[in-house]
Amino acid sequence: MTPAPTLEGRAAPPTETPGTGRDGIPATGLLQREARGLVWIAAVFLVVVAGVMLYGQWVQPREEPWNSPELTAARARLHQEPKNEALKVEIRRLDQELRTAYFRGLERNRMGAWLLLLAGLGLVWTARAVSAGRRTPTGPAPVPAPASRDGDRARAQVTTWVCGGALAVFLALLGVFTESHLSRWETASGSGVAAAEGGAGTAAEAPAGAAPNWPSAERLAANWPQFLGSAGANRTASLNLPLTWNVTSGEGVRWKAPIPLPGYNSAIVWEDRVFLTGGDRNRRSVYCLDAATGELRWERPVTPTNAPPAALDPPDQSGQAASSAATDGERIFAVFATGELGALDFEGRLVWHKRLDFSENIYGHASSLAVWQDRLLVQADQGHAEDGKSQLLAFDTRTGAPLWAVKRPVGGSWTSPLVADVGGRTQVILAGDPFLMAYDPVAGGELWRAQVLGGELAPSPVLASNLVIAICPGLSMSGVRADGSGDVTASHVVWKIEEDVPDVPTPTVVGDLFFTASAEARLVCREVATGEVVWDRDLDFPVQASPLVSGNRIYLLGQPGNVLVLEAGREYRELASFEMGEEIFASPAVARDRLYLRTKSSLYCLGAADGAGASKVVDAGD
Amino acid sequence: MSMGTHQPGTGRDANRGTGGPGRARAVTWMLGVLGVAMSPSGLAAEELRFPPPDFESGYVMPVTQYPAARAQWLEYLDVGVLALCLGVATWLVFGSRSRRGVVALSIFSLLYFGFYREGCVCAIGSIQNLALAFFGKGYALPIGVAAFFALPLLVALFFGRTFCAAVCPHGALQDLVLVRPVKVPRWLESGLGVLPFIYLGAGITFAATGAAFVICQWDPFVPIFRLSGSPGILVLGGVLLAVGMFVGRPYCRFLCPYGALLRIASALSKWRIRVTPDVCTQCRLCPESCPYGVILEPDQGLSRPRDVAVARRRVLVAVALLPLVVAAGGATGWVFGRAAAHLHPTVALAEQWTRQLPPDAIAALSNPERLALGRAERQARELVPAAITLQAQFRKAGLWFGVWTGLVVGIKLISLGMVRRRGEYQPDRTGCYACARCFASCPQERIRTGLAPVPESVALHPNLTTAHPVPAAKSGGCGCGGGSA
Repeated sequence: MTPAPTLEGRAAPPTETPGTGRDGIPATGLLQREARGLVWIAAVFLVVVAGVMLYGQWVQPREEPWNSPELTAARARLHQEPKNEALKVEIRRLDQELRTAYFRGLERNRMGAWLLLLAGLGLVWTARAVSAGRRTPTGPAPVPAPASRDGDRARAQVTTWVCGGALAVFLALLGVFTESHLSRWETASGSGVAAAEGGAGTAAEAPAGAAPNWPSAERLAANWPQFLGSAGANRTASLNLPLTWNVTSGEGVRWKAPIPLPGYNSAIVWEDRVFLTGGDRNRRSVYCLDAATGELRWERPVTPTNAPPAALDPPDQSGQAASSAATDGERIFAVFATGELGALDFEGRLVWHKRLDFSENIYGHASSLAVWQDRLLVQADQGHAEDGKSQLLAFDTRTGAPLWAVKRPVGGSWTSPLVADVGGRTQVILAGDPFLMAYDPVAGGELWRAQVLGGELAPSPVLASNLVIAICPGLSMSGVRADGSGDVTASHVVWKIEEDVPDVPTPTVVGDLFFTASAEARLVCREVATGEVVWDRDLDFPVQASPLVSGNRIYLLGQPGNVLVLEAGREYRELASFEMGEEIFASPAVARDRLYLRTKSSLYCLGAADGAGASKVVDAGD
Repeated sequence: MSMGTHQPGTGRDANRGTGGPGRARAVTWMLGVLGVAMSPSGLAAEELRFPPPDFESGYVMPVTQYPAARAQWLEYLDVGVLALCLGVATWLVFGSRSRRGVVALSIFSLLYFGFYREGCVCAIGSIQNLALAFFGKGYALPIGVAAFFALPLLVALFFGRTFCAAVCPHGALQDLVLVRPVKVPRWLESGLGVLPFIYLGAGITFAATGAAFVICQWDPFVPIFRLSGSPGILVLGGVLLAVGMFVGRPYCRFLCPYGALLRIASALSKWRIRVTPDVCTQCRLCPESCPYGVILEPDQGLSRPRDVAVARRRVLVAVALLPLVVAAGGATGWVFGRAAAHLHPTVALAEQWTRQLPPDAIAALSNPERLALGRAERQARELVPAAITLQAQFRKAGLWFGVWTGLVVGIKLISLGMVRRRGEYQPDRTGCYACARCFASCPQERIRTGLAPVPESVALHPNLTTAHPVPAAKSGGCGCGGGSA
C-alpha cells in the first residue's frame, strides 16, 4: 500500500507487508497460523521449567556434600570409635551418595537452563509472530497540548523528587540501622585492638568476666606443662629441690620407674601425673605415671594404627621420640618422628590424631610441642630453606582442627618453640636456618626475623629480659631485641659472639647472666646485655641436657650421669658434685619440689622422702 | 559482565595485566585518546594459593573462574570485534539505515559478546575497572578493558548511541525480546531517568573503594549468558526480560550506568540520528513507531506570559534548592557510608570478628571469626585498624556519592523546568538507542528507499536520494531538516 499524500504534503501511515513484522523480521505463514497456540505452549513450558528449577533450588540442601550434618556427625562418631569398620563403610557410602546427588543437581540445573533458554526463545519468536500478525497500521500520534506537556514536566519533577527522596531515606535508614562494632573497639580504649588480640603482654591472663579454656598462669607455673617448663626458661619456682641424691642407696630418690621404650624427650608434669614418651620403629607410646608413686597408670599410642611410614627411620642419636610432650591441663599432646601427632585425655583415651609429614627431616623430628592458650604449636622444620618444606602449624587443642599453618623460609632444625610475652605482645619465637623468627600465635603472622643462624640447630631460643638468645652451634651466638618488626637483622641484633658457642643444650638465664653448657664439656657464664664472658670452666663430662635453675642453684646434668650443682652467680662456686651412673640426655622437670629426671632407661622422682618442705600451690581456679 | 568478574580483595583477577601501577595510571590518563599504544602484557593467570596436585587418574581441575583466563591476543581480538561492530552499527544506522542490518548485528553481538564471551568483556562493567585503577592502588587496567570503556563513548561523541543499537549484548537481548511495546508515560520516564546516573555513582563509589563491583554482581543478564548464576539474579534477569517483552529495554532505560555516560556523550554528538534525512512532513507517524518513546514532537515553547512566569519560577526554585539538595545528598551519603563499608571484605571480616567480642574481654580463640582471620592470613591487630580506616574512607566516599546523587536530582529538576523549542519530530539524541525502527515508519524514508512510489503532487527535495549524517549544529530547532531548504 502506498502512502496517500495529503493536502499538507503529509503521507498517510504506511502499512506493512503481510507476514512481515515491524522490525522487518518475516513471520512465516505456518507460524502466523499456529503461533498463538505455540505462544501458550512455550509460555506454559517456560513457567513449568522455571517453577521446577526454583522448587529444586528451594528444596535442595543448602550445604555442600562435604559439609552435610549427617556426614559430619558420622565423622565425629568415627573419631570416638576409630576401629568401627562398619561406620567407615557407612561414611563412604554416605559421601558417595551426597556427592552423586550434588553433581546430579548441578547437571539438572544445567539442563534446566538450556530448556529455559530454548523455551524463552520459542516464546519470544512465536509472540513476535502473533504480534506481527495482529498489528494494525498506526495512525498519526496525537499532538500533545501545551498544558499536557506542562503537566508532564510537573509530574516528572514530582517523580524525580520521589526517586531522590526514597533513595535518600533508604540509604539513611541503612546507615543508621546497620550495626557496626568497629566504632566500639575504636572508642573503648586506646588499646582496644591490643585487647582484642589478647596479646598485649597478658596472653596467659584470663580476662575479667570471661572464662578461658586454658589454665591460669599460676597453674601453669606450678606444673611443668612442656619442654623447659611453662615459660620455656628451664627455671622453677620450687626452692626445696634436693641438693644431692644417691640412686644406689635411695637417698633423695622418691621412686624410680623403668621406661620400656627409648626416647630422648623430657618428662612433663601436671598435678599428680607425669608424662613422657618413648618409641622405636615398631611402637610409639605415651606413658602416664603417678607422680606420687611412679606407678604406670597407662601407656597409649597416639594413633589408632601406630604404624610408621615405610621409609622413615631416624638415626639412633635422635630416635623416634626426641620431642617432648605438652599438656593444656586436660589433654596430653605427643608427636613422634613418624609424623604421628595426637591428643589423649588424662585417662589415656585418644581425643584426636593427625599424621604430619616429617619425611625431609634428616635426623628425625625432634622439636618439642608447645601449647599457647587453646592451641598446639608444632615446629615442623625440615629439608633445605629453598625446599619450602618447613612450617609452623597451629591446631585447636580440643579438636585438633588446624587453625593456621605458615610456611617458613628455613631449613631443617631440631629446636623447640619459645612462646613469650615480650615487646608488648605474645610471640612464638623459632630458631631455624638461617632465621630467628617470631610469629603471632593468634593467626600465625610473621612479626620479625633476624638472619643470625645457620647450620644444624639444636638449642632452642631463650628469653633474657627483652633479648632473645639464639645459638648457631659451634659458630655464633646472638642477642636479638624482640620488639622489632620485619627484618631486624641490621637493627635489633644487640650482640653477636663467636667463641665458646654451645652445641646442644639450651642456655639458662639467671638475672643479668646466662649460662651455657655444651657437649664439648664447656660451661660458660656470660652477661646478658653484652654476651661477654663472666667466667668459664672446662668440665669433665659432656652435657646434652639443658641446665636447670632453682633459686640460686644451677643443676647441670652430664651425659654420662654426672650431676653438678653450682651457685648461679658471677663467681664459679660448686655446691655439689656426684654421679648417678646412668646416662642423661633429657632435661629435668620440676613440680611441687620434686625433680623428675629421665635417664636413658628410667624416670627418677627426686625429692624429700615425705614431702617435707613441699609447698602446696593452690590454683585460683580450684 | 566481564570486567566485573574481578572481585577486589580476592586476589583472583583474570584481567590483571603484567604492567605496573605506573602504566595503569598512564593508561587511565590516556583513556580519552583512542590511540592508546597497545603495549604487550602477558597472559593473565590465576594465582593459586596452593598449587594443584598432579592427578594420576587424569582428572582435570575444573576452571573456577568466569570466564576463564584467555590468551592476550584473544583480548585484542575482542577489541577488534568491538571496533568492527561499532563501525558496522554506525554504518547501518547512518549509512544504509537498515533495521534488518541492525537486527542481524544485534544477533551477532548477542551471540559473541553475550553467549560466547559470557558477557565478559563488557563496557558496562569496565566503568568499575577504570574507577579501581584510578582510585585504587596496585591495580593495572588492562588495555582491553580500557578500549571497551573508551570506544563506545568515542563513537557516541560523533554518532550517538550506535553501541546500544546493536553492539551491547544487554541491549541486543532486550531489543530482541520486545514483542508488544507499551508506552511509558513521559513524565515517569523522565523522572526515572535519574536512576542510571545514581547507579553509576554507586558503582564507581564501591569500585573506587575496593569494596565490590556491584554493577557486575547485580548484572541481570550475565547469568543468562552463562546459563548459571545465583537464583536471585537469575530471577531478576527473567523478570526484566518478561517486562522487556512489553516495556522496551527496561535495564537500558532505567538502570544502565554506562547508558548514563552514553547519554552525556551523545548529547554532545557531532551527528545525530534522524528519522529522515529529508524534509520532516510532520506526519506524526514516527513517535508511534518508537518503542522507547524518545521521538519528541515539535515544540514551539511557551507563548502565554503566565506559563512563562510559572516555568521561570519553577527553574528558579530548582536552582535555589540545588545547594540544599546537594547538601542533603552529601549528609545522607555520609550516613550511608558506614553501612556501605560492610561490602568491603576487610571491613566485613573485621565486623564479623568483632561482633561477638565485648571490648573488654578476650574471647575464645577458636571461634569462626578467628578461623576466618587465620585463613585470610590476616591478624586482628592490623585488620581492625585497617577496617576502621576503611570505614572512614567509606564515609568520605559516601559523602561524594551523596553529593553526586544530589547534583543529579538537582540538575534534573532544573532541566525539567526548562522548555526547549523544536521545529520537527526528532529523536531525543540522549535517549535514542539508534534501533532504526522509526526509519521505516517515515513516508519520506519509504519514498527515499523506494518502498513507496513518489506521489506526483508532492514536491520532493532534490537531496531526497541522499542519506548523509546530519551535523547536529545544522539541525536546530528551526523546523528544518539539516539537508532541506
